[in-house]
Amino acid sequence: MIIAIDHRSDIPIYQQIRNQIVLGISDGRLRQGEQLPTVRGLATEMGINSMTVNKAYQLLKQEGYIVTDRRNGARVHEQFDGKKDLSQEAKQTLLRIISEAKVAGITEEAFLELCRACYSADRGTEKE
Amino acid sequence: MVVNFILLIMMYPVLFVLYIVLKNEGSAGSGYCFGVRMNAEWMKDSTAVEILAEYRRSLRRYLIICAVIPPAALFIPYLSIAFTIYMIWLLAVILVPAIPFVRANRLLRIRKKEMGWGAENSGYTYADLKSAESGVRTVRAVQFVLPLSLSAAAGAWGLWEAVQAQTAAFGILAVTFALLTLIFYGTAVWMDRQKNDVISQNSDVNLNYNRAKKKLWKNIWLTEAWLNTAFTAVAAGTIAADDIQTEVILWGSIVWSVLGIAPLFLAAKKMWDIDMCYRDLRDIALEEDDDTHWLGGILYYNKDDRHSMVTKRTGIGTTVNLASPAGIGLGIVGALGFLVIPVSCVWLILEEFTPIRLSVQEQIITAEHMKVEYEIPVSDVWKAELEEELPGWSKVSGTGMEHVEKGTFHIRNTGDCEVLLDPQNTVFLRIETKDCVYYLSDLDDAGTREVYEMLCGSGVPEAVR
Repeated sequence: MIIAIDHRSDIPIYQQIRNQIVLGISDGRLRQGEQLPTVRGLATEMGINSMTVNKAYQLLKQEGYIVTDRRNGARVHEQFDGKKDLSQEAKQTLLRIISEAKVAGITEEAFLELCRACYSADRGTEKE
Repeated sequence: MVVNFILLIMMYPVLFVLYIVLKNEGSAGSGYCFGVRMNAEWMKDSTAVEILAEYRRSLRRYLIICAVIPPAALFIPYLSIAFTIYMIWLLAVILVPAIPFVRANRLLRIRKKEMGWGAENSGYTYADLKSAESGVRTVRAVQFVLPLSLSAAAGAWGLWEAVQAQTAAFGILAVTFALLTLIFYGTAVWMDRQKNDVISQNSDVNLNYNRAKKKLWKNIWLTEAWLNTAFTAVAAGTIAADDIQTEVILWGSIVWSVLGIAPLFLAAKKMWDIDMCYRDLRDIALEEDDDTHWLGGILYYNKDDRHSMVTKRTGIGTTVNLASPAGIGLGIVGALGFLVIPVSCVWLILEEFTPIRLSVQEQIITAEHMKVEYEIPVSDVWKAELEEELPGWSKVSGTGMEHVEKGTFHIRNTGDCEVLLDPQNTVFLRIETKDCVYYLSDLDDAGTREVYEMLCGSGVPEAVR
């Protein structure tokens, strides 16, 4: 899987890494249990500080997307709890996007169609 | 004349190598033109074609003008003047093509902006999780153990023999060559750990591409390590031989330089082949468009990138990120390296054209050349002789030019002596004191004889006519 970092974006780099790994898991580019690079390895590849990658991994671990241990490094979680609900933060983001769609004059049907397309899309490399 | 010829052999190929490398700018394959991210489709644009054509015209003029100078300098009788001309020429050969290159870089960037090429990729950095996870390492320490061990042994042997023969300078030379093998190993490891390129959405393609490139570089540095080991052994063997010939070391160094450069040409060819192999697998959407970080398309400066080394956009190999601490350090070293050239030229001219002075004043023999080199109280002189022939010696440290020999020289089976003379003269003053033997001369024979007469008149013991 390819990760793209936009250095001009207002979104912090650790957040961009977190978002793209979540996207990768959701569309199957990252399989459950798949080995992830070490913090140092990914930082070297991206030319960024190890602390930034570490922060992204900590966030992913906190949210239950990955597991880490000293011997095996970081892996995508073998099983997701399937709570069938979004976090409060994700709901807020969704609400903001829906509001923007409404203001832009997108109908509910068109919006849901867009959601369906995104839900089932094979995205390749996503840019923030 | 011989030294001029050696300088010509060493430096003349630089022009043609640079010309060939620069002439290929804009050819499909590398994905860059004048350090600007371009693809084959954009290169068909009429303005881009015109920029390229103008650049190539400038390059041809540069080749013709620069090609004339070195053969003309071959017949200059003064080493320092010939050396200065070659150095100025070398600087010109390296710096002059940068003028049309930077100009073409600026024009192409303007055109790219006008056309909106690659705007969607600007500011992005890509990384392949699979490459990051596997690391893509090709250098194994075990492959370098043998050349490193043999180099160390040869270096130690050379140093031992040099110390035994009281020619420490040759020992330092052997150790320096042994250390070069270590530097080659360090460079191989350093390059092996650099960022992997992302050229495709397919991680296997990225892995294979990076593995092929890194393996090529590993093989190049391993070859260099073995070549250097062989040369260290030859140098040590030469030192151990009965009669150290400076010329053998000099010619050996030239052969070593030529053999050392040959693998780099092979690397350039193979790197080109690898790029050609993967040309059709390249994904334009993944090509990082960071032209703004390439100053003039030549120097890389990116504060957001923590890599100290990145792949060059012109020619082959890597270059440093001048915004990284290592880049700043190497930049300063490079700038100082450039400063060494004019300083060494001025120093050589002064060495060659400053006259030697030998005098006796207030019962002190003074030998001067640029500064007072030796002051010998007449009372310390055990013996003074006029010699018409110089002994066979080898230079340990100092200067050896057509009109000046200066410094510490070693006479086989006799020991070291201090020298300041013009070897073109026909008489030389040999002075022996309790601690040292000196071979001196004045600017001409008459001056040397005059000093000798003064010493005889001063009651120097055992003065022999």
